[in-house]
Amino acid sequence: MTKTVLIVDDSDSLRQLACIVLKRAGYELIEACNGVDALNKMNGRKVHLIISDVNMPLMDGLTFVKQVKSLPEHKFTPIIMLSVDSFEVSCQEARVTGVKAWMVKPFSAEKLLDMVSRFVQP
Amino acid sequence: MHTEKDAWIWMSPLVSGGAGVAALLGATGLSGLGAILTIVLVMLAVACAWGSAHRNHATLTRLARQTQDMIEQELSAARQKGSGNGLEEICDKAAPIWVKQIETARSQTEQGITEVAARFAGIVERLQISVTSSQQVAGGRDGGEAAVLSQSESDLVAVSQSMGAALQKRAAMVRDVHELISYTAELKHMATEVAEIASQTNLLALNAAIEAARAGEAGRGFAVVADEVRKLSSLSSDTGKKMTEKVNVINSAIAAVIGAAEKFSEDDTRSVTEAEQTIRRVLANFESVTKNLSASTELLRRESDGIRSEISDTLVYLQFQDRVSQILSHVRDNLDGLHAHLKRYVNERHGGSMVTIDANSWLNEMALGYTTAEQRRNHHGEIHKAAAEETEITFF
Repeated sequence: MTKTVLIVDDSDSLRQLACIVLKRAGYELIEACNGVDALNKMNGRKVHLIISDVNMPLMDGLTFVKQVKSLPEHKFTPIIMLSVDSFEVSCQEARVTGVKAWMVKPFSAEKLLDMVSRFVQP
Repeated sequence: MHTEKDAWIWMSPLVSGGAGVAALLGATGLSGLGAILTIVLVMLAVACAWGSAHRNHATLTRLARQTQDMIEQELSAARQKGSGNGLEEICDKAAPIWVKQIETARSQTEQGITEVAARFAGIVERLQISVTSSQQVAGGRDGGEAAVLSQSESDLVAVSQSMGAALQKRAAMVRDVHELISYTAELKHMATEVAEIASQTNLLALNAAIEAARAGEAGRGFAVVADEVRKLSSLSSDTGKKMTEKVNVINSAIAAVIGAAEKFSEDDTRSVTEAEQTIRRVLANFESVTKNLSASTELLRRESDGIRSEISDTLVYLQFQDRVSQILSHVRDNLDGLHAHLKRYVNERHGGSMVTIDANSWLNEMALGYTTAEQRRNHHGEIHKAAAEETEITFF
C-alpha cells in the first residue's frame, strides 16, 4: 500500500521539491499551504507522515501540530518540522508538542528523502 | 531677560535728555554765562544720547548672542534629554544591525538567484540536447522511421509477389506433368493392342504355315490367310505410326518440362537471392533504427534524469527566500516598533512628560525575535557569512 505524506508549507517551491522527490520515491503526497488548509485536507484521510513548516500565515506550524495531536486518528502520526530557525528554544518547544524531528532549511532533496524514509517506507 | 543694568542702559538717553532740558529751563533765568552753560549742557546731552545709542546696539548684539547661546544650550539639553531617552542610542546601535540583516538578505538573495539562474541554464542546455537527439532519430535516414517503414513494406511486398509468381509457375509445371502421366497410360494401352496384334499375327502365320504344308495345291485357303496377315500387318503399321507420334509428343513435352523446370529453377534461385538481399536490407534498416532508438532512448533517459536533478537542485536553492523573508519581516517589525516608540515619545514630550527607553533592553527584545543563525551573528557583530550553514537535523 502506498504511504501518504502530508507536506504543509507556504512556500510553493518547497512543496514542489517535496513532490518531485517523494513522488518519485513512491510516496503519495498531499499538499497544504498552511495549518488550516492542512487540517481541512487531512480530514478523514489516512496520513502516514506529516512534514510541516513552522512559520506560516493563518495557522503556524506549532499550532497546527498541537491541533493534529489532539485528533485521535492522527495522535501518533509522526511529524517532521521544517524551519529556518536553528535556535535551541524553538527546537525544544517543538519537541514538547510531540514532533519527531526538526530540520533546518535549506536542505537537499537527498536529505529530505533520507529523513522521510527513516519514518515511513514507500 | 532684562537685568537692572540693562534697565539703566535703556534709561540713559532719557536721563541725559532730562539733564539737558533741566539745564535749558535753569538757563532761561540767567545771562550770557548762563547761555554758554546751556550750550555746553546741550552738547553734553547730544554726546550722551549718541553714547547711549552706541551702547544700545552693543547690548542688542550681546542679547542676540546670549539668546543664541541659550538656544544652543536648550538644543544641547534637548539632545542630551533625547539621548537619555534611549532613542538615539537605539538608532545608533540598531541601524548597523539592520544594515547587516538587509545585507545578509540581499547577499542570500543574490546567491540564491545566481544558483537558480545557473540551474536554469543547465536545464535549457539539457533540453536542447534532448530535442536535438530526438530530431536526429526522427529526421535521419531519408526521412526517418516512417520512410524506413514505408520502404521496408514495399520491399517485402515485392518479395511476396516474386514468391507468388514462382508458386504459379510451379503449379503450371505440375499440370504439365499430370498430362504426361495421361499420355503414358495411353501408350500402355496402345502397347497392349500392338502386343495382341502381334500375337494374332503370329497365330495366323502359324495357321498359314500349317495350311500351306498340308494343302499343297489347294492354295485357296492360304490366299485367305495371307490376306488376313496383310490386314493385320497394315493395322500394326498404323499403330506403330500412332505410337511414334505420341512418343514424339511425349518427348517434346518432357523436353518442354525439363526446359521449364530449368528456367524455374534459375528464377527460383534468383528470387531467393533477391529475397535474401531484400530481407537483409530490411533487417539492417530496422537494426539501424533500433540501435538509434536505443541510443536515443538512453540519451533521453540520461538527460531526463539530469533535468529532474537540476530542477530538484533549483528548488533547493529557492529555499533561501524563506530565510530572506523571515529576516526582512523581522527588520520590518523592528522598524515598526521603533516608529511606534518615536510617536509615543513625540506625543508625551508635547504633554510635558519625558519617556525614557532602555536601549539595551529594546535591543535584547529585538534579538528575541530572531529565527536564523545569521540574524544572531549580525546582531552580535560576528563575521558576516552569506551562505546558510549545513543542514541541521535534530531527532527527538
